[in-house]
Amino acid sequence: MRIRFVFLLFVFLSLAIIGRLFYWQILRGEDLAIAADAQRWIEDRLLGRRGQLLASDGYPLVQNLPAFVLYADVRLLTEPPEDVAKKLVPLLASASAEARLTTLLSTPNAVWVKLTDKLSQETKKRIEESKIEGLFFERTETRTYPEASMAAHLLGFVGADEEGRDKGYYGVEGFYDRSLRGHEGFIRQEKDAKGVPILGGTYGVEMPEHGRNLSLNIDRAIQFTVESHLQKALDRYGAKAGSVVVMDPETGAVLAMASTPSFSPTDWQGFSSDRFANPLVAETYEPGSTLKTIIMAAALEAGVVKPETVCTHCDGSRSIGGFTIRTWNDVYHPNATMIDVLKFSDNVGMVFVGELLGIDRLWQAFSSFGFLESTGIDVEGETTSAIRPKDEWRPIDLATASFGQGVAITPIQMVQGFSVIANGGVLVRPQVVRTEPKRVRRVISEKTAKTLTQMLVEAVDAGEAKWTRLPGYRIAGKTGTAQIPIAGHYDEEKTIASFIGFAPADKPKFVMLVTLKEPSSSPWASETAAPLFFDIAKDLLTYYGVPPEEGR
Amino acid sequence: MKTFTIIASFLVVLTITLGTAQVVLSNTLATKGKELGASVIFAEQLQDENDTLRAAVNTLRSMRTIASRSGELGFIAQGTPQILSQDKPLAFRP
Repeated sequence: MRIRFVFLLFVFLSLAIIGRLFYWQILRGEDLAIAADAQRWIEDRLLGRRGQLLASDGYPLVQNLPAFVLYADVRLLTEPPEDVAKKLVPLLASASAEARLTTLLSTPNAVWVKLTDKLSQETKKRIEESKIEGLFFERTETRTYPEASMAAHLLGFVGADEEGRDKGYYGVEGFYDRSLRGHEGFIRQEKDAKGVPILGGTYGVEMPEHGRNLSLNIDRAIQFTVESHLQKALDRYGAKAGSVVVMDPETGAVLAMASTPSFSPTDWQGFSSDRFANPLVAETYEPGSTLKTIIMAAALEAGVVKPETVCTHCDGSRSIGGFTIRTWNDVYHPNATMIDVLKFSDNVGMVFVGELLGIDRLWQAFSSFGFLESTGIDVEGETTSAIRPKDEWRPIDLATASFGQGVAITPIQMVQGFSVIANGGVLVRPQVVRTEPKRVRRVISEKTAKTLTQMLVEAVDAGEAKWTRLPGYRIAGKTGTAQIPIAGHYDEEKTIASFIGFAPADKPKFVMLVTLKEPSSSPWASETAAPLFFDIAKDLLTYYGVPPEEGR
Repeated sequence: MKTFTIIASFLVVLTITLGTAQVVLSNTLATKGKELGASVIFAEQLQDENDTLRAAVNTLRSMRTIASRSGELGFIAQGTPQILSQDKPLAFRP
């Protein structure tokens, strides 16, 4: 009897032990393995740094500063969440955050609760000095802009994606986001009971990959000059907005690109999102008389006109398809040559040229000069032209296109097309990041380019903007005053005033387009955009050390 | 026999010495982790300081700062540059 009792007791105890072992090893085994792992190993993320954006002189236009993510281990808090939140608010200088912080800190048993992001070193130090238990920091980085908001549209900014990781938006940051992004690494080390790493113990490491630094073609001195002059011009001429782009016509290197109103890439959250798109690549405009240079180039290249060709319809206004085409000042030049047509910016003369060219050849010119496709410039957000298909064109469309109305292109397309004249006839791709120049195709012959350059010099020296030109320099250029289309018709008073040109005419260092939107002091480009162009050109020619020609 | 004893004794002493050295070395390594951790933190702090100072230097040499400071020092915006004669020196004239 006793033997049987002892035997049953042993069986019962054995079953109990087996059951307990089953519980710990099978049911709870995984949890315990994880807990053992956590006790034995430290894992740290190694930050993959985002690449910097450098100006042409190596100066960092965008660089990184250390920053910190503040998180809480709720289990280790020794004070109530409301008290911790109250202490944190003045340290974070964020008056509205108390309720949010209290809610986060009240998450039961949370091991990692992110409280705030991108704290500076000074703020981290203040929080550490407050000795609040349960708060920890994780290293990260934030973007900083030593030149403040210089070239903001061109550079873009860094925000966050859906998963909270850094992501570039707009400009170079957006276009090259993948190249700029770093990839995290990690280090895994054995630790002792006090959490201190064991030197000589087992460890694993995966090195981080840092993002690529990008060297830009942007010249800081030119960018600064352009932005200063642009802001002054906006105030002087009462314009709503303005843009300037400066490019090397030989290589397509974008030397400066500025638009205003602008925004601060550091505090982009405080600006309306309609400020972020770069108007020079993302918005179209009707180029007005600046487009006459392209039409004339196409006509010279096609051989339908020569510089001395006489316009046989320039003695008065023209009536086409129920519309009346006039010159900008209602002054007509009978027997005007093509040189005169550009010099006087004669719309009627350009209609003559356009009709000789014909829709097919004009369309071909638009295609060759790059107006029917994106330029491929390496900034995010480029759009392309808004030009109706040629089989929808009527005679009036050909007429208005000849003097740059009724077609809408982006400013960068205009600069790219105009550079063809400046560099001897080749379409080059605009480039912001320094790389091998990309010559797309030959558009016109060198002879045509030279001929048109001479005509454009004449337009500057003797045209409507001659009072503002730079003495001593041969500069090729053209004004453009385009009415703004609103709700199916053109506004009588509002214009986009522009000037496009290159200098020195014979061996150009730069091509530049200046646009002013709705200048209130005067609607005419000769009185607004042209003076702005020459003010900037004067500084650029001095910067490049180009002396004036003697006797000019 | 004597030679064998000497060699055996030497091997025993060597084994004990190496074993002791390994224990001491491992112990030293295992307890240096705290210093290692402190070194890593110190290196990170220096890196952060470098980055912050570099950003400060870059801000000081920004175009905006230079333009502002030069204005305070009395520099003015450039006027029209005066170009000296571009005539060739007498010796180079044909």
